[in-house]
Amino acid sequence: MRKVILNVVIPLLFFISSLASFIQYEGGNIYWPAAGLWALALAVTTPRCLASAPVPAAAAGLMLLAPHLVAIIDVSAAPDVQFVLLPAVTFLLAYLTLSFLLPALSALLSTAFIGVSALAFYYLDRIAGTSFIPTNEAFMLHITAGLIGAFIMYLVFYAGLRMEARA
Amino acid sequence: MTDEEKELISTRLGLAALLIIMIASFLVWELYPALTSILSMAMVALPRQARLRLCMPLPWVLAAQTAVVTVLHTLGILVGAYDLVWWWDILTHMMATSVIAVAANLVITVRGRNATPRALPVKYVPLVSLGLVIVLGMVWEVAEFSADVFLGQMTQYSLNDTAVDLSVDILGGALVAVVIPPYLERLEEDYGICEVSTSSAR
Repeated sequence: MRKVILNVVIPLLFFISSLASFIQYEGGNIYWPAAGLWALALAVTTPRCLASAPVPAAAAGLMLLAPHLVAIIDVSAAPDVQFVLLPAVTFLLAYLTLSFLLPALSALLSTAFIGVSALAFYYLDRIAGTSFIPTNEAFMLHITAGLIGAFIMYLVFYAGLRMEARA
Repeated sequence: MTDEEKELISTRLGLAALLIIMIASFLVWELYPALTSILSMAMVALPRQARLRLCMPLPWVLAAQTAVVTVLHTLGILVGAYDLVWWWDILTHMMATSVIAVAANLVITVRGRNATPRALPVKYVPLVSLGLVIVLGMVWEVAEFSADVFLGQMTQYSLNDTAVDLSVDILGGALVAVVIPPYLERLEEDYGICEVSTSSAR
């Protein structure tokens, strides 16, 4: 049973969640589908990696589904849930990508992801005439939220490691 | 002339130039460039301190580049070059990022060798350093934004300015990530690991 959960259920949940992240809501977070693409790449290329780190994989999968679960009750709350959970999701994705490295590096990679994504959307606006990031304030809001969120996730994981070491 | 002597000359020239800028700033009562030049002096001294106290002799060019970029930055603030010359911002960002990226690569290489649960392979160091440079660029922009919002400064002109700054940061970091791997692979095993000799400190 445990084997089935590790090798089938969690990778499947992760895969479905990554696909679900492409379903957008009005005013939804623009980085959410990008994080979903990252998750999809992980689910397709390294499903074994997900089985070897089941807790972060399951947590990331559930977090990617969370906006849809919240939307069942209140659709207008889904974008806010995406905004709050984005740093946590990207941190977990970075942790799964660099599972052999330290949590600090995961925080680094997740923050860098948000920074690069923000720039990518800025250039998309310039080239395609879209308005994902209309103002400097919006740009800075995304970057600041990413930095704070990744830092909090780092603290949580660091505290977890310390407790694990003591136990 | 040895690399250490070249580093020492670069450091002293940088410190002298920054001292002149600091005095000039106080004379015209411009506190921002004055304070920046004091902070820059500490930065210029870092490569020398890394050699003497951390056993990490950095390439002397890095010390020279640190001196040049800090002088350009403080001078730019004092004479208003950031407003007058459109590429001044790009130049300083690119130079500063490449200095930080090289230093980050070396520090991460040394620390990565002793990382737990396992050593960080050298081939990942440029990638990690690039991530660090991007994050530092973001932190810098957030600091500028905070200064504008809370202290009423005018460090960020527009979305375009912020995005170009961050892009140039990433470009500088990426450039170093492409160029530096052969240098990292040539580093000796005991690089960054030695007894600190206080007697050699100057």
